[in-house]
Amino acid sequence: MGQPRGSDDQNSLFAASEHGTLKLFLYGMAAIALMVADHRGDHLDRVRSWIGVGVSPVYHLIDMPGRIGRWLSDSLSSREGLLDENRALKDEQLLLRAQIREVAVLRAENDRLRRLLDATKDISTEASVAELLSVDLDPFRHRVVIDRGQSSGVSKGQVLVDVSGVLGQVVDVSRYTAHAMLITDPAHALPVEINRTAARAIAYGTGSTEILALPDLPQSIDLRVGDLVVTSGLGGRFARGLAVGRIASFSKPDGEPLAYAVIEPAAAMDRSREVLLLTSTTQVDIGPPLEVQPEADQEPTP
Amino acid sequence: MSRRKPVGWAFFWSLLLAFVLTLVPLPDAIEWARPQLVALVIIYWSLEAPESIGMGTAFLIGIVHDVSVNSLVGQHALGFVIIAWIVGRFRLRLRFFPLWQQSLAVLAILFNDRVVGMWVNGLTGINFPGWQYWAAPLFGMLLWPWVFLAIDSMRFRR
Repeated sequence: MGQPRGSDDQNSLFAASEHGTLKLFLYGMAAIALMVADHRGDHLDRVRSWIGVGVSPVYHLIDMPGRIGRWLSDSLSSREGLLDENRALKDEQLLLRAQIREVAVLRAENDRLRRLLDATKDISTEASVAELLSVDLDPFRHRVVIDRGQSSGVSKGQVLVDVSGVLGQVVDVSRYTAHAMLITDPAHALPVEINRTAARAIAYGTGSTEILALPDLPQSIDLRVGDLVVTSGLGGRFARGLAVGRIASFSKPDGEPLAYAVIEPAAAMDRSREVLLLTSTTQVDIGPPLEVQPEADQEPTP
Repeated sequence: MSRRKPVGWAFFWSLLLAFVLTLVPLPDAIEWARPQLVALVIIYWSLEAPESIGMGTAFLIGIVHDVSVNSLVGQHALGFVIIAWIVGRFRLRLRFFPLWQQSLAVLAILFNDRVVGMWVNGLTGINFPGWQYWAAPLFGMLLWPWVFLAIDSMRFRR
């Protein structure tokens, strides 16, 4: 680790600095090679996962004060309050159950209709609960740490949602923690569709938690402020129909080829703590279709 | 860690503390002002005890930093290697600067680190985040004397 120089630093200043410049060059090239390998593919997942095991305790350590605070407030809450909460939750559960029954009927009907149409099977998803650790990564990018990793079955590409909409996706996993990229990260792009018109677009993260951008809409698009935007399921990573947000503003500048819209995300991007991890259980073929079907203009949902 | 006495644990603890403070959640309103603490610690050790930290160590610290803040692996490694090199190069001069003058040099080094970061972000297609991006080196400069004194006292305690 330590370098054996130090004495020849004083004696031959020139030689030492030349030596240093060579080292700078070599380490610089190594760093650049790593960056290329990381950016171009998943070649460094192993490295991330190994070092991640060492970093996990630090994350958990930092999360500890908040955890203790919540535990204290839980254990100090009054009996009355707990009873009230319990009653409210029971009512809600009853309602949800009724709704689920309805959904089950609809799903069966949907499956039957899809079979009639010979469409591909809808992605069915499994969900598991996870928590975000209160750790700050980079203020200019929107990444979060999940308190579960490989050991709990978290895998790369899983989708993060909270009660009201899509949050993001898992980008790398180590043994006990995982990192996820939020949909508002400046490097994130999300295939969406407008629920009312089924027009498709790509929603880009902007680096602000309150804004997703739709920068390249055709001028002819039918769009209104307040329209619900959902995931389109194209690309195969996000299941279809997850709520993304609502159109907050829409402008068609004269003389510009493209219209521009802004989405206000539905999920509580910077406030969610409990999240759901969705796993797609059916394998989706991504890539060009194998055989061209007539009227295959509209791709079936993967 | 090293053969000389005053380094050893102080090196480890100062680094760990810097990592923890880099990850501790801050309110969103001031999050962008967080100084580059790990970089400051690297500057300190390359300046005061160059035998404790070479470019190789700076490189490894950078990789760990990259994994812990989930940036591109190699991004901070590159930045830290450059810092270790600059400080190593101008060490004999920097050491005889008074603390305020040293702080200015630290500002320049941290600023350069941000430029490297911006270059990498630009190449990977991330938009420039705005003026807040340049705030961290300023706060780093203001923090430098305290970091210096704090690690010094960690080293020479007892």
